[in-house]
Amino acid sequence: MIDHERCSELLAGYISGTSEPSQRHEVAEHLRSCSACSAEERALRALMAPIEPLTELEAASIRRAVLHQVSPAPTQRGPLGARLAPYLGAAALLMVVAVGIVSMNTGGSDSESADRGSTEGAGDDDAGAPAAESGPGVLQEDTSAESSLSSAPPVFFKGGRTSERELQALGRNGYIEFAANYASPKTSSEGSDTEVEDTEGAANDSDNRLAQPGELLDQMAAAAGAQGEAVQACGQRALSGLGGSALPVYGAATRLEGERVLVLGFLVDVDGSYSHYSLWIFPRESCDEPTKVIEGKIAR
Amino acid sequence: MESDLELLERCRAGDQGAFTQLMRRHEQQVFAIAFRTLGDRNDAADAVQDTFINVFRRSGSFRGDSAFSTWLYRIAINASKDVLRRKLRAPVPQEQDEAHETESGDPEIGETVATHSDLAAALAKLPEDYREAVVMFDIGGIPYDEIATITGAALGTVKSRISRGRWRLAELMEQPTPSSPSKEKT
Repeated sequence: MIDHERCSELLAGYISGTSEPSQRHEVAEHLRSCSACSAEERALRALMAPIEPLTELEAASIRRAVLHQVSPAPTQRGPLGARLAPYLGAAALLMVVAVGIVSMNTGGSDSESADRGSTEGAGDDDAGAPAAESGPGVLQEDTSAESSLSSAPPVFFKGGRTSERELQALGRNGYIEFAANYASPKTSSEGSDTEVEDTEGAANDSDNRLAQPGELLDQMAAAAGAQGEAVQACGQRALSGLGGSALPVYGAATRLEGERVLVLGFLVDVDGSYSHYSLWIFPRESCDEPTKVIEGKIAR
Repeated sequence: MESDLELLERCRAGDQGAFTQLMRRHEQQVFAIAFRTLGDRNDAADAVQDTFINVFRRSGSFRGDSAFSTWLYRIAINASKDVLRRKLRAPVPQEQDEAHETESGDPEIGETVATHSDLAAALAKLPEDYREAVVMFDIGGIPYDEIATITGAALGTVKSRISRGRWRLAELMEQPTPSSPSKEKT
């Protein structure tokens, strides 16, 4: 008589009628005496039940839409500096990927940081990699990122450990909103004990027009030094998931629950106003799928 | 018939016809994955569209370490999750100041899709690890070992997630019947 595990393995073939007669008999016998496996069978039958397929009209419509999206020639992009020049003054938007993590709670040391200098996870994940032109999406530790601090960002996420609760507080308390607020930057951590440090924004540019997602991502990537490629790749991944109604306004390389992660924060347009935040947390070796997405409404 | 890889190679070279062939070949299975996950035809169609856009954009990065279908279905599952997230961001009357974490880690997803499909709603309530394993194995047809590679979990863990995911699914689909099967196996 087969056990539960073996029954579970054979169930799909049993339901689809593709298993050997002897196996069918064994599965049927087990199912008669096992209520749990019978429940599993019911669930699997529901999962395997045929669905009404796409009609040719629906499928053709999807194909057309896809081809329309991917067919246009890539936008010609000039040198990064030239593209960024009009916006560099709006420094209140710039986010920094602060590396050189201070492992405050772990007793992390300088040697630990040094150990992270090597590339990790290369080639682990086909699905996670961005297009070839932007490399394999492997995040590399930027041991020189500190130097980029002087050139821009008035706001940065100070490394060290963090937690989901802290990140939720980060979004709810308007920290991200602050980051995106050209005209009247304000600090708003409200004394939370997050390891977040925000400093006064340097909104010394009178150009208060709202930038486009791509522009902001370029700025963030430029500020991120060697992490720039990863910020671009993961940022594009997140923007794709957010459906284009989001502004990338926050980036950080840090640790979350002990794991090294890249955190990207977005303002999300819901019903005509950027009233929500969305924090995408990516593993440091891949931009394929966030390990977590934290979303909510910004407290006013 | 050209293999998926051969068609993908032609896509990389800019052959739109090859990409169309790839879409034709896989669109129904991608739709099935999306529909099972989302429980709504329109949402599933959106996910199919997003899936193939991402396939095209990432085609240069596919190295053939896994089957093309595995890579594709992984993208489809992610695209379906993205569609769900977008739905969840639709304006809601109540304050969202508190995160309503559930055991699945996907707050409110179940409520969102419950009206569309009991199965999709039950799937959405599964812990994410279980749901992913069940969708990949039972809907995507991805073998155990490839799921293990994709998720970074041990083979035994993958089998366990699939099995337990199905039990939990059965329980959820049979609620509120109090006599739903116990998780303890006989």
